[in-house]
Amino acid sequence: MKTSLAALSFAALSAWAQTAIAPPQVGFIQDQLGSFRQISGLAGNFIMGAPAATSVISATFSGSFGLVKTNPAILVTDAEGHLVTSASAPSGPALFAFSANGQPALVYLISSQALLQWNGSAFVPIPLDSAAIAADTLWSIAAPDPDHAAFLVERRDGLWTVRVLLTTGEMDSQSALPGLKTPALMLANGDVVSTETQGLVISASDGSEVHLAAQLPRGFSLQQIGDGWLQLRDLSQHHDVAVRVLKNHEGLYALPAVSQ
Amino acid sequence: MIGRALVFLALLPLSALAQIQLVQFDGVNENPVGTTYSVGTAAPGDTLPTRFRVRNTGTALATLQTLSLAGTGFQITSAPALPYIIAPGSEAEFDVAFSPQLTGSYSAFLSVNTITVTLKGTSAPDASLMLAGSAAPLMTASVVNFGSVAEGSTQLQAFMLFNAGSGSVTVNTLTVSGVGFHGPIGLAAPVQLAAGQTATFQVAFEPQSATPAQGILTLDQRAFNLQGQGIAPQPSGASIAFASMLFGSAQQNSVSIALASPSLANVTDWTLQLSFQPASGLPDDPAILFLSGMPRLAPVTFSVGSATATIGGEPSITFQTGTTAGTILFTLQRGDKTIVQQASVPIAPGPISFDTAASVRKFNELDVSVAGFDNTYSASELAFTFYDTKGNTVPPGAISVNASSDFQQYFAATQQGGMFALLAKFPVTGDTTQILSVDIQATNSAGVTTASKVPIGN
Repeated sequence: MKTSLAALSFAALSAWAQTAIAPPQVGFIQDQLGSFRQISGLAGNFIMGAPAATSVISATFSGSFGLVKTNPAILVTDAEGHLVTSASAPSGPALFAFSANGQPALVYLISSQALLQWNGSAFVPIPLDSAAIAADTLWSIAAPDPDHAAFLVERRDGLWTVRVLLTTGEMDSQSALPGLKTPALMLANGDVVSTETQGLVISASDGSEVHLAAQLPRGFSLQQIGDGWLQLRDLSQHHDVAVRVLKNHEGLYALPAVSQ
Repeated sequence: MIGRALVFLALLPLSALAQIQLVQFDGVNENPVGTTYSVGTAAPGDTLPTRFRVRNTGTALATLQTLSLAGTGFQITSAPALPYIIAPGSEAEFDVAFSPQLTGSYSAFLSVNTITVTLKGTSAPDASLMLAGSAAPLMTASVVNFGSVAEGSTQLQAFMLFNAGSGSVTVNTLTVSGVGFHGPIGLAAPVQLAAGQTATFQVAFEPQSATPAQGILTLDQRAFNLQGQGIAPQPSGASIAFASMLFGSAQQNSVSIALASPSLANVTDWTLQLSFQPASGLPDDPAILFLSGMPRLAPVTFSVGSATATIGGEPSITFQTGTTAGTILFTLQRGDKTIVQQASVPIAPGPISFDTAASVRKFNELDVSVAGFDNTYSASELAFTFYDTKGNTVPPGAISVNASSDFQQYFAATQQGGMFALLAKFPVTGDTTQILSVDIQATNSAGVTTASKVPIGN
């Protein structure tokens, strides 16, 4: 069959935009004031928007959905930061995971060691063998496929990936990640962003690595803030950094400060 | 008010009557004035001011009703409007100027209500004192202000002595006193001046602390006040430097400030201001800002012994260049708003820049998305050319659209600088898997940009 193109037409860029041309969006960050704040722009050219939520303890954004932890609740937001649903949760921070297409997938509540799975409308508790993920520090969770949760754990002998079967909560497999240092974050595609002396390193599941030179702050955390974007959250000096992990566009960029 | 006061006065017992006293006030102390008072000596052409106070020493309101002066060489130069009510314990002030035109002795009668005083003054030949470049003689006791001078710096003021008389005069005393003031420089007493002759000298102000300073220039019997303000020594030779001199849009750069020599003091009141002058017809760009602290203003400090500044507490401060053509201007200012240094970052108009370009294959449709910026806000024609598995152009070939009005509406409605994200959808007749890549071309007033062979993903 001969292939041909019909007339050009513009359509909505994403759920954010109603017109064909729209401001480019990075996503949402957890700012130093504890707000879940929209950020638009391009690499090296950011504009901070209005906060969508305040008193935030933990937060992440996939590009399509946001997951926010406040002291009494877990919030799910849409691409514009509007609340989709909320669920009560014990106080304290949480770890989040999105599916490969950016849908909410998993929430791990650190204080109660509870794993919750998003079923499309609510969070469902998953039985979890806590011994399976016993570790000095639990850094990150991911949803590598619909049947598994992956935990990035730091043990005395280094960093490990532990896969847990969601149907039983039992460990399915585990593998060491030799040479990788923390803080570290596992992405939905299986890549791991970890720390090295001279900066960050993105380790892909195919074994390739991309090194991003940077003078890292003394204490920081990593969290996803958009499609292809992470936030390096400075825990002391408030000099946050945007980490671009989009393949062939990797880079580090300073984030603008936010005012009261 | 005055009427009420007078009625009130009339009702008071005798012991509560008002009583006024005339005193001379030298700026610090009140000195008693008897039936005669000598205002001092002034050279012909000079003016010697004297300030008097009429003090109400009684317990009732007093009224200053009469104030007059009769006699050559004297005049009242300032006084309250009469009648003037003086509250108990309070006072009224007036000034008398002694301005002799010739040498000799002068006297005048001063009347203050019922008090009469004979004012006396002497005019002896002496030189007039003028600021260099001025033709007006300085009045005795007038103030010469040296302004604000940094510690370690010297401010010189030139003076000129002038003999306006017909005979020669000799200045026997010419001294400078006061902490921080030095002189006379270039002239020493005694100084003999023939008729019409001049002599010049300088006085130096070298503040020894960041405080106000006062001194006295004495010229025979006349004294002139010297004033200056010492300020912390200001760093000199400050220069603004950028981490990168390859300026362009959508960049993050950093700026630092260096001194030619180490700072002599701790300086905390300088600022670095960022401003943006967009190219003609373009708006400001909110993305042009410092990335820490206030968006466009940063505090600058220097420490003793250091030749580099801290900006917002760091050795340098990072800023964004935005996505609008124009000039970013950095202005380094002292605390008194004096501009020390300026440096500009030119952002030249450029062709549209693509940050990302991607395409996705859907059922009967291809979606092409582009994110980038147009720092001229003049994007117009877009063109898309699709290629099949053999590298051949897919009919109908390059598909062009004039998106000028869409971009104009977008730029007018948003405050995102020249940034944009665009999605174009192409309905396809046939098998979309046969289309493998697309060329994306965008045009603005500065040129044409092409993203070649962008792969079409699933």
